[in-house]
Amino acid sequence: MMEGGKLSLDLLIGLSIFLFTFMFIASFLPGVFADVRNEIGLMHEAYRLGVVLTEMDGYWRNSSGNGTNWHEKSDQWGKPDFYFFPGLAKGKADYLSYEKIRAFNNLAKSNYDLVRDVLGLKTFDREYDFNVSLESLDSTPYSPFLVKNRAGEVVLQAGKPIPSSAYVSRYERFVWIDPYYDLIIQDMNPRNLPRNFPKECIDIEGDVQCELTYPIKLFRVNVYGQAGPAQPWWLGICFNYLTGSIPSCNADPGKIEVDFGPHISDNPVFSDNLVEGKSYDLTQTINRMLKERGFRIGDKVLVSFGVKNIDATLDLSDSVALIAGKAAAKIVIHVW
Amino acid sequence: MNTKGQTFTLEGVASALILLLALYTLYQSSLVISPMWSEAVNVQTKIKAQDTLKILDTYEKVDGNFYTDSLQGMIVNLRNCCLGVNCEPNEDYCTPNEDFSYSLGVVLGDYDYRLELYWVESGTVKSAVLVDRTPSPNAVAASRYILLNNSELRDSVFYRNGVEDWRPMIFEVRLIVWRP
Repeated sequence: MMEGGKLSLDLLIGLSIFLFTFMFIASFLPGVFADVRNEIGLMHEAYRLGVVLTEMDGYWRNSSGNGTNWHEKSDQWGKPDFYFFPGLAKGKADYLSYEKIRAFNNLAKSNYDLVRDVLGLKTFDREYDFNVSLESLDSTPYSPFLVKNRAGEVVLQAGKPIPSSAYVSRYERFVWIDPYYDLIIQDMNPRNLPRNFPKECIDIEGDVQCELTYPIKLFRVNVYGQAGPAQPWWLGICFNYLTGSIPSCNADPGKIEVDFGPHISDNPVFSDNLVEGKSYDLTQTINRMLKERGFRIGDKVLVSFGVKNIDATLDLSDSVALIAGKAAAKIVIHVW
Repeated sequence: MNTKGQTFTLEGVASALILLLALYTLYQSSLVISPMWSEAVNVQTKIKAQDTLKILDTYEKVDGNFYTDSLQGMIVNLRNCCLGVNCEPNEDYCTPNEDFSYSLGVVLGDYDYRLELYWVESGTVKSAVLVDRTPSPNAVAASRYILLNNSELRDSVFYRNGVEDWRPMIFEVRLIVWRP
């Protein structure tokens, strides 16, 4: 029997299945990586935005001149002959200007599309949305903690609300802000100024009691000297549970003392001689003391001050941390 | 028997289809981690490590002393300890001061870290591990150079007797960071 030149059905079926499989995989594989590629693209944009905001000073230019103080030209923003770029840095990377941060916040709130345009997030073929915020170092996506200024306003939260169902790329940059005076609450007995207690504090016949949240980011006492010629002088700082009370908090004469309980004990947690012009950063001491007493993140703690003939201020913050003399926080960038 | 036009390998066809179905299910259900994706995550970690070192790098002094939680303050406060080179078993190894460790922990948060110090002594590069933890495979490193003169290193383990005060010494602080 002559069988040359014939194809068996097995071969046809096998070849069909092979080709079908080959075509299927060839067309399917790029789709497998499409989502990942999309996310990588977003991360790139978020990274770029982070670099622009935290490492560049920004600039402005028009027919009359140029400079880096774009934040002082708010009346020119959006004008056709005014070109600017809103970097937040102050001469070096991660070193941010408080004024530029506030200006960027106002700019993004008043003209979101303009900001997208100048930051390169709105081109002829692609558009990205963004959200930029200044948050505490321990802030997380699940429990964000925005930095507020001494007036209680959020310092920076610009852009659109972050969508819950979309590919969103998040990027963080650790920064420090200068000047940080507006980010902390100064309190106690400011020289020649009326007493200006934070809202967490109440004044009970001259004694100040506050409710603070653990962990405390910044608690620094600046001693200027004695208030007048009166003697003696001291500063007692007492902490207790919210259910407890602090009837008195008097320290030994000439001392600054910190303790936990209804009053300063004979063996306080911290004790030092009061020295004119000296700053006492008690943040770490207090947090360690509270941790040993079982305080957990977010717990409230009662604090009371025993102030006697002292001219001093208290730097207090529940959002910015003082790290190596710098007010540190983080810029959080979302792009989608 | 005429066997032409018949398929002998029904099992073969069935197994091919099953294989195809399995492949399809696998691609649909599995998360594809591409090398680029992990690279992008590493970049975020590396940037954080670099930012951390920048924040801790403060040359400013208060009352003539560096902030104890700055990189400079950490180095000059390495005192009365052994740097891990020819240390005797009963000697104290040098570790960063408490303020520095606290501040580093505040900035890095959930990240774990290892801290190393490099410097040049008598023409050779020497190193010491100040915080000795074992990095995970996805750890990234960042470093910062710190310049201190001999007078600023007084009382520290790096002070060089008989050397002029102005003579500089360069340190490389290497921070290795990873997610535990």
